[in-house]
Amino acid sequence: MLKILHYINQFYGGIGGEEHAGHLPEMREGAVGPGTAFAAAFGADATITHTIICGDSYFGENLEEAKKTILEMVRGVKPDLFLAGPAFNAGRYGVACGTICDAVKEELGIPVLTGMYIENPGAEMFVDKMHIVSTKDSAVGMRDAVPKMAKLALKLARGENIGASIEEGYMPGYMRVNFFEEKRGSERAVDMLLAKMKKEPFTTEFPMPDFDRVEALPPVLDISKAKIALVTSGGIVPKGNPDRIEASSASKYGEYDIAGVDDLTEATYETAHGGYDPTYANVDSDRVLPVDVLREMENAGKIGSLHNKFYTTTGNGTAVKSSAAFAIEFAAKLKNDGVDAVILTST
Amino acid sequence: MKLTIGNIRITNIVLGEQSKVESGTLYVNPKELEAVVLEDSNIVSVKFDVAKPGESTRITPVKDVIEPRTKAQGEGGMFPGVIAKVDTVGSGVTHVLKGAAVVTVGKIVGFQEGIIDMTGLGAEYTPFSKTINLVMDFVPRDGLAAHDYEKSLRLAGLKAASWLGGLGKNVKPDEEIVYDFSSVTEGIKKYPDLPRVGYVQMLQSQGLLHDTYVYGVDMKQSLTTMICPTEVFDGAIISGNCVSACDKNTTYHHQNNPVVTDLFARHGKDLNFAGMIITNENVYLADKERSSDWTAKLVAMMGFDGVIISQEGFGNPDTDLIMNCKKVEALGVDTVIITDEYAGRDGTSQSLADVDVSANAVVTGGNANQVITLPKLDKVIGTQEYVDVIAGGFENNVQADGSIVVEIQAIIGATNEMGFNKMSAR
Amino acid sequence: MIDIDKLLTNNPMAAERYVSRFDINLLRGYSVLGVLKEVRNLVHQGNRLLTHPVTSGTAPNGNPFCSVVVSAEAGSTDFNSVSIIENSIAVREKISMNLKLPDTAIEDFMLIDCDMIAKGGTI
Repeated sequence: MLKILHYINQFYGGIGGEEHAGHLPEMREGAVGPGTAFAAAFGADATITHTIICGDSYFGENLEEAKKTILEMVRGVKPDLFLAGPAFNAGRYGVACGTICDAVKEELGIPVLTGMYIENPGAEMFVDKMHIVSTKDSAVGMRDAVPKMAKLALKLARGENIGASIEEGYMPGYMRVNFFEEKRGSERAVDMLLAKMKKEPFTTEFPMPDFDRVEALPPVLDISKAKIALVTSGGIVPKGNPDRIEASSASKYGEYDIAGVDDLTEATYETAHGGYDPTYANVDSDRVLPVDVLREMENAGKIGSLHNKFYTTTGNGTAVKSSAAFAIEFAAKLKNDGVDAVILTST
Repeated sequence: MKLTIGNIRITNIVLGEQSKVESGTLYVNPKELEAVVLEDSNIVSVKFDVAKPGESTRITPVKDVIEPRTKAQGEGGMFPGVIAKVDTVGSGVTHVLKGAAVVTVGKIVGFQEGIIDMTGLGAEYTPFSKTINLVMDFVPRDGLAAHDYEKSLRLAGLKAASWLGGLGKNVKPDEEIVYDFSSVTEGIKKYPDLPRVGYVQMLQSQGLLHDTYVYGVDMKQSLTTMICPTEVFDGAIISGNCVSACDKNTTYHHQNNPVVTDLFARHGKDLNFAGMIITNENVYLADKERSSDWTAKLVAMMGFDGVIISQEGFGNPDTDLIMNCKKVEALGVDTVIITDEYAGRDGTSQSLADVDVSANAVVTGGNANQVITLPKLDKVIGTQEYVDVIAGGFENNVQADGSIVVEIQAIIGATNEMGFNKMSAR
Repeated sequence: MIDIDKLLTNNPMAAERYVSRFDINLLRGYSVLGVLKEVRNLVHQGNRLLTHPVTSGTAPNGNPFCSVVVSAEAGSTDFNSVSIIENSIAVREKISMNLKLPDTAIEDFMLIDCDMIAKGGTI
């Protein structure tokens, strides 16, 4: 019989709602909450030997610690499959399911499966990294989700060939798998074109990656009069990372005053970014956020002025949607402050 | 232009005394056919073989597959500008030996793939496991240069298919299908309320083993142009391709163009099939710009409401595909593109070499990197030497029991980008 | 004097065949990725790409030879060229070329690569 380890949050673990979101990871034997439905669906093929329950806020705010603890628990159990959720449309729960599944898969080499609603931010972040079963947006969808997830879980646990997303019910975007359609391609093309021309719904067989390209604005007319701001996804923060910007999958950005700062030194600034070797950025943060050079240019009259605030976050693993939301917010502030142009630095 | 296709169903091919078509059997006298193909002094000898569906036979490396056809009534002949004179084709009556195919085999270069398995798992991926194949394996003159070799093989296959098709000229077809293509004004009068739909066919044109000829013209040196869709049924477009086994269009694919066939099937009902544009896939970027500009311009001039764009090959042709799609969509004309994918063996890599959000309606022929195991078969026509070395792209792909592990890109027509197959990917 | 366009290639056959047509930079022993990165250096210096650097349809692992033509003149950076070369490098990085090629295939790969840039639509 296959051994399955199930991850759920504090709510589904029966501990409580938002007020218990800080719940530390704990492991119990057997199935808990939605696990009993899974156990019924698995029948004699598999058993949920253990359930890990973790508060969503705890996971989100103590990412590295939470991951470490949970990975240790999983390592001890050695399951044939790690199952998480389903998270439906609960954002932090979805991100936690995706994050922990990714870690279990990458670091322990154990097959993983989770399920959530297509608009859950966890789906956007992890759809290209694992099988995520597409569910409804609330727990009402549990009855649909369990049999789909259970079937796919057994296949994954046994190392069987996985069919195409459309056959198995996982979200497209992770793995392209061949299958045979009822109609040949040319006929499907004619059907699709007729639907498209009639403005009727149709499903493309290959969703194009949308890079969200931005049209460039006309150049700054006179750079020597322009007020320039610095913005970075390289995670540069005042020493000690006062706002606790996450090393990855950032949930926030920071706004810091650099009035009177001519140089970012080892004593005053560092990077919060967890996706690159921080040594050089920690020794001299100007390497990522070039305050020193811009001050020189400001003094030499090459630029009008350097804006006295900079905005920063960590780009690695941060959902495009979150980044866009950060930028909409601080772009308005930049505009209000009369900034003419922004230099964006990445890593 | 009105073309009647008369299908003569062929259920068997027999090598024998008298060449003829009788009660569904194609009898071929090898001496007679040999005389036809050995006119070319670059070919020293040829060996004929018949491969039937279900037999334990592997054919490789395949150069081209051609359907035997002949002009029974009306103007012109098969493969105009190449075998027949350049007279315009696409009207009258064409007889087809349906169910039969000529397969040419020859190792033009040392890394050539191209497998047709008549049975087993591999047979599920190629349409030519369902046809009765007359296979011609050629021995070229010593020291024949690759360009000349390719040309000799290309012409020999076309000659043979044309000659064999001729055996059905006076045979009564089992089935007749009429394809009636209207002029612009006729079409608008007849179907004022139906959307005008066009077809843009992209043709490989990148040099040796990647070329396509239209009425004998090397497509690489042609501007984007228009063709009457019925012309393709008479061999107006022929393949000079030998690599990209899975997504090259063989001459057989052109003769049976599935997009043309399926647009005709809905013509007058859901749509007005209003024209076909052919364009190339060149390596020079200026050519890519010019050809895609011309595609969009012709689409605008024809006043199409929607077009289907089909691709051939992979790699830099993805760029042509996206340019065509983007420029046509920019006119406000709806597009559907047909392509295939190289998503890696586990299916997790980015599938296309070029992408754009305007391509929001895509039909895929599947992931060419999918790995399958082909069983050991009793008979090999051609040589398996190169399959062992290279097909599928990894060493030691031949197992102890003689089975071969390959990516399906080594199989002829597996991921065809004209939508010939039912395979897709998600 | 009209400057002749540059050919960057790791294919000795192409270097020989096009000796009178292009200003040739034979990058002997370079990988395809190596050639593409040299092309990128020129593109960053303002030369325009004239041919598409991704080969076409030589399954399964692509051609180990690569020839790319860039413009003789270097103007301001051509962003279309930048985007094509970056994309080409990304595509090529996906392909593993750890396959040992049979000797019989080497020359044929050279020939196919040569032919890719032999002729365009413009004479």
